[in-house]
Amino acid sequence: MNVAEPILKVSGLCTEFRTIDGAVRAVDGVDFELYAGETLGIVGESGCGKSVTALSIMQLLQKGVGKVVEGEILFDGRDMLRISEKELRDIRGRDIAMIFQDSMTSLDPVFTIGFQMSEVLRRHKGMKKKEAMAQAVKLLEAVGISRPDEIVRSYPHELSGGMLQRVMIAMGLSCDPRLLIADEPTTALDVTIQAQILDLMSNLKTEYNTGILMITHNMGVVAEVCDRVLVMYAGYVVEVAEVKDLFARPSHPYTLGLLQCIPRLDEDREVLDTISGTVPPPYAMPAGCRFAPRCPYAKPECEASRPELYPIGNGHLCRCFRYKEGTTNA
Amino acid sequence: MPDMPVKEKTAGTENQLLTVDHLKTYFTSRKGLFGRDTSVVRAVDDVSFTVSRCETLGIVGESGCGKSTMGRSVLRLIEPTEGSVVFDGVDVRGLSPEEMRKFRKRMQIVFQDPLSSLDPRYTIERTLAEPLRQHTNMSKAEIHDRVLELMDRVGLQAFHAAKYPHEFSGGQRQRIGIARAISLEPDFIVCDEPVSALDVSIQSQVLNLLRELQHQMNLSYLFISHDLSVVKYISDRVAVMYLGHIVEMAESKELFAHKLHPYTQALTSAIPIPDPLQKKDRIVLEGNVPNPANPPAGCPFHERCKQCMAVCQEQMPAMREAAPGHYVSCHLYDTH
Repeated sequence: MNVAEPILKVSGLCTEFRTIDGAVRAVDGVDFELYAGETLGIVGESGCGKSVTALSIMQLLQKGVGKVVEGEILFDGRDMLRISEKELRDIRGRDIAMIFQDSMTSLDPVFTIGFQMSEVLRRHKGMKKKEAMAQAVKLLEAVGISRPDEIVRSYPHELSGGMLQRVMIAMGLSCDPRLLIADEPTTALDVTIQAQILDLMSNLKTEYNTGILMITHNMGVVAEVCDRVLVMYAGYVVEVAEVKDLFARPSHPYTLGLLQCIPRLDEDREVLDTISGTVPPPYAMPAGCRFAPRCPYAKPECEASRPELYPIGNGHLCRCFRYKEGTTNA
Repeated sequence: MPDMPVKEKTAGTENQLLTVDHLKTYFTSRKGLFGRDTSVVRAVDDVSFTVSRCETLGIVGESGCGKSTMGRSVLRLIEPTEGSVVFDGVDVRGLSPEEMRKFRKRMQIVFQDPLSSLDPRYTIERTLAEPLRQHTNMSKAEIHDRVLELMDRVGLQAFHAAKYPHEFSGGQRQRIGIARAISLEPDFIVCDEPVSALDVSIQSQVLNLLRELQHQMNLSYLFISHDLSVVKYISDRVAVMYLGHIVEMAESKELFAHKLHPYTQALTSAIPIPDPLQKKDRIVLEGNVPNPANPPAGCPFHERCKQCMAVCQEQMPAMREAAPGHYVSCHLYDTH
């Protein structure tokens, strides 16, 4: 499908955290490629390692606590794990932008919106103060903020959550990044505001050909904005598919369970399906398939050894022994 | 899952458990030097509804619409400013503090954040025993047995009794919160965003538990949530709130099949549906919810409404019954 080189290629990523109980592996073998103009979703529940994957790519793990212990992260052919801190600083904010769930804590409360936006432009584009401020106004206008010339002079606490998230997006896009990492960008927002932000992000993708890595727990958001999806569970990827394919034939028992346990507006259901039990803690991961203790299809084989990601056709991969033979119509 | 019998819905007043009439809760905020400028925030502004026995009334709305304040006002955890709350024939607002304390046996609440609503220094057994010690004459042994029974009922195991809140996962903590709420066999529970902090796979477990308990114990719920899909699943009837007002109220299926109020239409269209093939006619609302300290004149929604008329800017629409049991507060449905 894509003949071009991916802008981001992650292979065999493993990230560990030092805790009082020893090293805990939060991400255990994540592989994916992301192309320009594509939105790749990472979906999963709390603790599945989706945010840690994003922080590993940006090299934003707390020094001395979190560390990428294995794997390779190639951005534009450059190895993010080997380049110098100075080069990283040039890449962050210019080539890769990141927006977080809580925009209020991502902005500095003592500086104006305009100052913080122009800081990025001055650092990466060498703009003068006035020029940068004028550009900030333009950017705010582009993300649909009314009265941008007033907003640049205001402080973060004066704006609503939806507006702050727009500011974060405007700031992220200020240097025309090749890659935008959005970590639960709409989770803290009301649904009507979420709709505005998702529309905005879709427009930006087509307009600037930016690659977007969308991290979310919301299957609705995935269906709406993503082209391809990785489903993560307990630190590794359990299913990879094109978005239409994922919803047409969800294959991993976890993905199936996840889709069946969400109440939906377009359905009437008497009883919700559930996934029994809880996610295993990272210090007590099952040796075999990590979903086996909660899986309705688990067999002795699943507890003994770990399944690979088996291809099931159309680029669809699934980490489940039920697909080991490679049957495409399982 | 046990069989869920279809609930009988009888319309008579004898089946009504809770009647809330013209409830208003205002907050005064002071600004300026020495608080000389006061402004009144109308968090709940003239809200009326009823809840029948064994019924779940869902309250849905965005942040700041007053849904949590309303839930707490009904229980008098926040003192309402005006209006009446009649629970099983008793005017709750007329009760003395001591009478109210006793009355709380029958009206309970489950909070959104189970960690901050549990005492971190109490074991689960002590947390669950507390209401029994306060409100019943049970002996220590009886209380112990009852606590274990409650824990079993919400799906916790006996060894959990000696543990502290921080040792539990979010879903388990919410089960503890629910066990505490049902410990005194109440008739009515306000569920204030009980599953919003939980992962979806855990959320469905807790929702099913709430339903199961409702059928076993004949509970009525006032289920407050910002998540329309969750509210639709659990509620018999649903009320949509905007800026302190109920703008639409109907039976759950009826409401989602025939959305009358433009705000309800916009709200439901904004929800991403987990199906990439489904066509979406999204109504994207411009702007933000107005400041409740300075609400617009006329209909509270008129500034963001695509179908705004001249009358909407001047006159607050009255609540009217547009179809049997389907109430809406919008000038589009005025009868001329």
